[in-house]
Amino acid sequence: MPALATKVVDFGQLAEVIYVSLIAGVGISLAFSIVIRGAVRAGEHRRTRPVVAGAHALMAVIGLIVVLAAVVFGVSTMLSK
Amino acid sequence: MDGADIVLAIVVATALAFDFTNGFHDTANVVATTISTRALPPRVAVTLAALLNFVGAFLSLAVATTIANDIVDQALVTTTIIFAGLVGAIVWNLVTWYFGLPSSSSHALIGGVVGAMLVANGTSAIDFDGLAGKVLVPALIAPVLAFAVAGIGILVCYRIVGRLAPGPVSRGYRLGQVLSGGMLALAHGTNDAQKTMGIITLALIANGNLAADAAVPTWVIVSAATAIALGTYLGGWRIIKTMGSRIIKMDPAQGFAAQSSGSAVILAATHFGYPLSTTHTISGAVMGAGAAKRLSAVRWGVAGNIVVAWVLTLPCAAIVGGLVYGVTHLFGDGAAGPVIVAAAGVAFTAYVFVRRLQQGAAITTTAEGTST
Repeated sequence: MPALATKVVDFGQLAEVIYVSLIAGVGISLAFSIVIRGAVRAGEHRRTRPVVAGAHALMAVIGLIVVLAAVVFGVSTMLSK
Repeated sequence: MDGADIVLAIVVATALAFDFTNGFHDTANVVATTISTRALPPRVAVTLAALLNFVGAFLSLAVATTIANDIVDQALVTTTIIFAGLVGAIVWNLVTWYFGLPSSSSHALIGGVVGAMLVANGTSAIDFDGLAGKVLVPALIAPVLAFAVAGIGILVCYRIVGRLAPGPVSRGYRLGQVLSGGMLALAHGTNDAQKTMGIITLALIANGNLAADAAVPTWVIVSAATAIALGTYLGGWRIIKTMGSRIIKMDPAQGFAAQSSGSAVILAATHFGYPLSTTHTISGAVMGAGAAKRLSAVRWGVAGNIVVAWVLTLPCAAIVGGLVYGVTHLFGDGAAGPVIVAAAGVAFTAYVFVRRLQQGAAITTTAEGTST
């Protein structure tokens, strides 16, 4: 039975799909949530605490770069298929 | 035009009809969350998905004969078998669309071809290891993996934005959904239009119109892209309602987590050459995004119906494909069989559409769950 399962399923490839999906899927949710948090907080502190607002804006920009990089990677994956 | 050319013309028309049903059936899954959370108005979301499906069909031009590769003995494939398989897939797509259930068009196509092949050549023509490894195992993995990724993803989202004002947060995630929904639509166009291109190319090769190593003709690419985009634009409202509001009532963060997780799983699988169903993946992601917030938020009865449809897709499409091949074969190897079955198929499709229109027009959904 294990031999049959190994013949039918490439477990190494499957493990790669699982951990890359987890990292990419959770990572994109994390990065975009940071964009939203950074943008909202930057807006809240814009007038009263400009330095804190700047730090939040920077955080939002970094998150956005990660999200856009993920989109570019996704499209390049489709193109290279 | 001899009998073989008539059969080929019917196969091409049937393949484009399948592509059309694929568009209005599967792409509903892609846009449902965008519509239900009001990230985009319904018609705009569907139009955008149709355009991205059209573009997606041109992104990758590798001949997509994977439907037949590793599953059936390609040397035994004939245009009549392809025709019967396509009819099996179309019938199952129409049945699940009628009941508003998302099911995999790819599995329906595989089931139809396997059923026709079994009747035509027996079990020796089927690679059961390939069927298990390329179809059945991914069918189990896709929804479970997407469920887990979306579940963890939405918990991360809530953890980070939980204490912020809900208005700007919702607007942010709605904006994100335009991007994540676009990626899903693009991935869908790339994957699913390719299957129809592969089927038509396979039929052209089997009929001797193309050499075995020929590239996909431009008219095949354009017609397949147009058929899937047209199907996307014109239909799918019943399945949009199931995916968008019947499984769970989604907020924009859940919609974003479901779509981005679904995209990540599909693209990761694509990157490693592991075939997953777009339908199974996004359905699992929607359930995961709902269950992580609150288990009782998911309508498990609806989810159960969807799983039953997934389980039944392969055998039911196979039965129809086998029956269609058997009936077609009764009229001999000429064009009479496909012509008669195609005419009956057009009549059946028209009947289903008319009944559906008589029972209710387009369905709209809202984030608050009020639907008409």
